[in-house]
Amino acid sequence: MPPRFQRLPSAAPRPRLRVSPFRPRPPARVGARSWPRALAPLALLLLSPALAPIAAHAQSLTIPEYRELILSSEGTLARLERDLQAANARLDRLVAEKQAAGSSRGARSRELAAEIVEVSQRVADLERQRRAALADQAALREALNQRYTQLIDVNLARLDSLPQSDSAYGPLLLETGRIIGARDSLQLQIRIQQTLGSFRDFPILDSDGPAEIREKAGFYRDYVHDVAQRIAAIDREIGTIRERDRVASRMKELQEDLAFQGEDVAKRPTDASGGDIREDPARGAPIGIDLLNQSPERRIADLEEEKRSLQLLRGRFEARVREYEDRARTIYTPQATQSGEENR
Amino acid sequence: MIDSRRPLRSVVLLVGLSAAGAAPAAAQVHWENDVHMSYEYDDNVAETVVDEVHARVARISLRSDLVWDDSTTQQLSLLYQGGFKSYFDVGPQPLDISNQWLNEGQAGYSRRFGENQLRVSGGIKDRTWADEDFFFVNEDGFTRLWAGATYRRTLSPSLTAEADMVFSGIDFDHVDEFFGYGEQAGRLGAAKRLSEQVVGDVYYSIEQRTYDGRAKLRGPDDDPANISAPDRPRQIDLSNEVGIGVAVLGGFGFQARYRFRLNDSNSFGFDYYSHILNIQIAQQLPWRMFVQFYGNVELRKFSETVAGLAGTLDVEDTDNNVVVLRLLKEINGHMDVEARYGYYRNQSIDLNAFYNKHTYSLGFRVRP
Repeated sequence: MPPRFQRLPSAAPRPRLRVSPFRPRPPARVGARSWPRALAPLALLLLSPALAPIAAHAQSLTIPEYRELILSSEGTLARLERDLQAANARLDRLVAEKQAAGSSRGARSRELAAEIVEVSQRVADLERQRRAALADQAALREALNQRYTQLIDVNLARLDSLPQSDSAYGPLLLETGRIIGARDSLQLQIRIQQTLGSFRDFPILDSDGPAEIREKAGFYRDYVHDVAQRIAAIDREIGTIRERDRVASRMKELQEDLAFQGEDVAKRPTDASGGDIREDPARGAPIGIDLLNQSPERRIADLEEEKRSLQLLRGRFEARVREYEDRARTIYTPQATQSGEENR
Repeated sequence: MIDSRRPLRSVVLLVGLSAAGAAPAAAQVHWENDVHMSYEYDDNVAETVVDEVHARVARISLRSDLVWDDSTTQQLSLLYQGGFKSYFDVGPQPLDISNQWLNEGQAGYSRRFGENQLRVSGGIKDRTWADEDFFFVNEDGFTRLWAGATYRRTLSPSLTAEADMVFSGIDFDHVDEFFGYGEQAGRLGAAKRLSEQVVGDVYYSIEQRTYDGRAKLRGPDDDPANISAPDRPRQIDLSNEVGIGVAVLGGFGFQARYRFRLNDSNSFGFDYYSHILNIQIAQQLPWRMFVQFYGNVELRKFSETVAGLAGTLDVEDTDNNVVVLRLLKEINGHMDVEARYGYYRNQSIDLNAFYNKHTYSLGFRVRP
């Protein structure tokens, strides 16, 4: 039985998706055997008002407190995902057992039905908690981002007012640089999380036949395509940055070589863009601008990190496509049933 | 030979070191080295209008660039370049061409003060023929000293303005009497990033050159031989120049600069104006190859003619009209091979005469 995907907050942005997010979800066929699973989304929907972000009361927290809360929320999320996986596995076993029992009205069958209801509620509860934790984490990250920005603004204003001879200047400058670096990393995490959140999950329902499963495999295939496109766009951007640097270096190299081997032309202390083609007007910028400018190396590092996340995601979607296609092909074969039961 | 007549001889070249304050812990040191070797065929090594001499030339050069940066407000850079050139298979007439050494050192120190940046720098460049008695008129041994300062102010994240001044002087080993000079120059400029890939700049500069070995010529009837008269005022040229440049950088690189230069001399026959266009293009090719074009064209017009004067005594950049093509292949991240072709049509020592010169070279570059 494939592990179920957790549904991500519906508020997450989805404009990046080419096909899948805008396709209507396949209608769930609610049958006698699958009703507990079919009710799970409904339960989630009913419980959703309870998802209150905690950041609203956390505006006065310090940066270390925010960091601690985010770490704590990451731990909570990991625990919830483990519990959810275990509960889903248990639910799968119970449903399979009930299916095997057929339409028997014996005591065991009633026990199974009751257990299915109980575990379904547990799954729904865990899903709700997970969504709430995700929302909290997003809100905390956003609040921390704002807190960083406020602090950076304050520090930059202080740096502007302090003479460089002041003993506080150097430490404050270094601290500000560190905070800007931390904010850049946080913003990258937020962006990656938003990207991940833009994809929905399509779990196989017990009521799904081969056609529905293939259709869901098609949704994941679209996701693979979308993610691959984004990865390709990142590769292009990295390539552009590297190309620019290489081309500028080669031009500068030839210029310098000709100048050195050639005639005795007077040097300038600095030549604007004529002397060094890599010169940037922002070079020599005031501290604030200079600190906030992302170097090409840093930009490439960020893009590489985003790319790694997307590659992992693409791998998951590709695995899901293969899994769903296999499932659609073998769903009604005895081997599949046997194999599925062995896996359980 | 450096003598006391030059106003710049006392300039201290290694500057600013004492200005370095306490360095924060995040200081970084970058040290880059580059060795370049080439074998070249030159069809006019003496750069003459007639009786051209061709030769094969082997070159080796080293560039070592050391930069210390405290990541906050200070930067110190030291650069050394050294080169050696040897001639073979000289023809069509046998000629024993001496080997040549080139050495250059530069030092610079930058410090930032809020929105302002100050940089002081200086350097020395020396070209020496191994045989002290040997020289070409267009390629004499020399020693140049220079020092200067730049003030730059950031007006916005993409716009800077700068002012610089430089003092410079050059002494030639054999032709210093007519070509050596001292120079003071100043410049105002602004550079703006127009888009992610485009940077533009404009500048105005003023420059004064004093030729200690040359006397002032008084008019069209003056005997040109009086240029060597010791009791006359020295020749002083004042030139004004405006320039505009643009650089576009992506997978394709383009840099162009136009300069207009107006030279006003106190000596008859040396007033002129120039239109100078410089273009560089670089394009990446498949298989880690690059093709590059470098071109310079100068249209210079002297407003007066000195009858009977043997030469223009022009010491301006000899790269008046140049085309260089380079094809480069990156073997790996540390080694390149390259083929280069150059065509030069430059002002010769003779008035209004240009020499032609073609060079073909193969070389490789190693960056350890």
